[in-house]
Amino acid sequence: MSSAGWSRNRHYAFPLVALIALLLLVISDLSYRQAVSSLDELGRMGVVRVNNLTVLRQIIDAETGQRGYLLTGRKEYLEPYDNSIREMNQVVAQLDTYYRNDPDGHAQFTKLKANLNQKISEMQETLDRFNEGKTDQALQLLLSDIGREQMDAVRAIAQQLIEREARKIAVERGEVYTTLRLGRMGVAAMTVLSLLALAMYLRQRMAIEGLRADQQKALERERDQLEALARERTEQLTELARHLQTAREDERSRLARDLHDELGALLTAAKLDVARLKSRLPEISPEAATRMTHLNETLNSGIALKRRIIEDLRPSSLSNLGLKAALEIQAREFADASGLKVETQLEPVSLSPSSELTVYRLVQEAVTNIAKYANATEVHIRLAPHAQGAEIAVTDNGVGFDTQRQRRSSAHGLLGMRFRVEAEGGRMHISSVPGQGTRVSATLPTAVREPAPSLG
Amino acid sequence: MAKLKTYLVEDSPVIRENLIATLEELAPVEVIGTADSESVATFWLGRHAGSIDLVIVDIFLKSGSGLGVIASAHLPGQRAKIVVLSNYATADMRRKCLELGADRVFDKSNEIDSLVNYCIHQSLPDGAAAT
Repeated sequence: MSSAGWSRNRHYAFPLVALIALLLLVISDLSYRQAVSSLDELGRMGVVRVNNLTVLRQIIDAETGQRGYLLTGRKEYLEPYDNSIREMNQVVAQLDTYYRNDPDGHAQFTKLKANLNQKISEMQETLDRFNEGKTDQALQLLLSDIGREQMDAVRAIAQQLIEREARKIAVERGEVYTTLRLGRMGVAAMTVLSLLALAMYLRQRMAIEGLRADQQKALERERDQLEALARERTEQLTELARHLQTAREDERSRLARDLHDELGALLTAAKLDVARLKSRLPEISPEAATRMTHLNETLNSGIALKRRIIEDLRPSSLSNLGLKAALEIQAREFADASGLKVETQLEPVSLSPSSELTVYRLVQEAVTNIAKYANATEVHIRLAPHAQGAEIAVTDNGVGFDTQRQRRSSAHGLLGMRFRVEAEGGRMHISSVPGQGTRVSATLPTAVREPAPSLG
Repeated sequence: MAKLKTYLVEDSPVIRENLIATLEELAPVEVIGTADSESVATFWLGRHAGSIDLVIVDIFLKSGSGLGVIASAHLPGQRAKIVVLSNYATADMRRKCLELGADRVFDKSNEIDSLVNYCIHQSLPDGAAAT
């Protein structure tokens, strides 16, 4: 549960981190813009401050120029006066534009402008009177306190405006510092968050790796279990096949014995009776003699049938003559029956009776398949000692087949043979190429078992 | 015409009885002993070497094999003729029996008449002298 919850948290961690990062980016950008506009504002404020100072200086310069002219009467003193008034008007026009967006400042500035205009008109008045020759009136005007008072008012208001700008600058600088601090905090926060995200990511990676390793282990465990199960089942099946095979051979053997002992004895006894009767042929009628001949033939047929069945059930040659001879007989009989050229290369080998029977049956199965499907002209049967036992190989030069797609009927026979060979602890191998014949071979180990009970 | 002293090695009681009756009826044969296994036959033949004329052996026995009986009957000191009477008289089996020392091999089913004739022939003085 807790790990699931934790993993759900992890699920949301990345979107969250991304959101915070985006927010920080926005804040940083906003603070940048704020700082830029603040700095612009600071620049403008500086200009305004300087302009206010300029206005003050120009009005003082104008007054100085006016007084110089009044004292000397020389025209060149009027030039600074005119220049100052003109420049001052220009600066005032600039300031006027600036204060238009600042109602508070604008009121003060209007007052300044009014005082300036009064001062200028007072100076102009004085100059006009002086130029008209009314020197006394001009002097009187000059000596009166009007000009000074106006000048003081201008100075005071300009000073106020300058100080006001200075205050605004201080406030604006404070904002810039705040913005910078905010940006700094943002970067720090982002760094911390990044580290946190990295840590979470690494933890997640480790968790995933751990989970994957666990899954891998679980898969391996499951595979091992399945393999063990498959192995066990295969062993059971092999054991079962072996048991069935043994039971089948035992049954066949018992049946063959019964047929041989009981039925064989009865038939032979009948034959003996016929032989005894035949010695008295002259005493019996011709018709009875014919019936007896017929009886003899019937008995012969019955005996032949019994023999075929017995031989088919249990190769008596194997128990009586040994594997090598039994295979020779089988090969010869097969050659006679099929008309194929059969070559044998048989060496004495040491095998348990059941392994010998397996070899015999394998050859039987192989030559049956050859007769049915291979369309061969030559068959080679080879029996030779092998590393720890014997190797049997049956080779033909027939049509062969694709070992991946065996004919069903023969496949069952070969599969049964494979089981049988493996139940004996051996290995069977089939190699065939379409058009190039087939080779069925098997290696069987020399089993150390109790000697076979001889067939009687 | 002296009767052939015959020892019969055959595990089937039915055949044994019928064969004894048939041979004794049709040929000058006197069956003086029987056995149904290799060990009994070998033991008996070892004890009675030289006293019998004919040994009739079946290949398949209750225990052991008639082949072993042939081998033991063919030892020096045995003058008896050894005849195999088998249901398994294939060419290979015949060859093997003859190799081991059998004189003749008869098929139990088809060659009873030949066996009877052989016995008659063996009982003849000149036939016995000829071999």
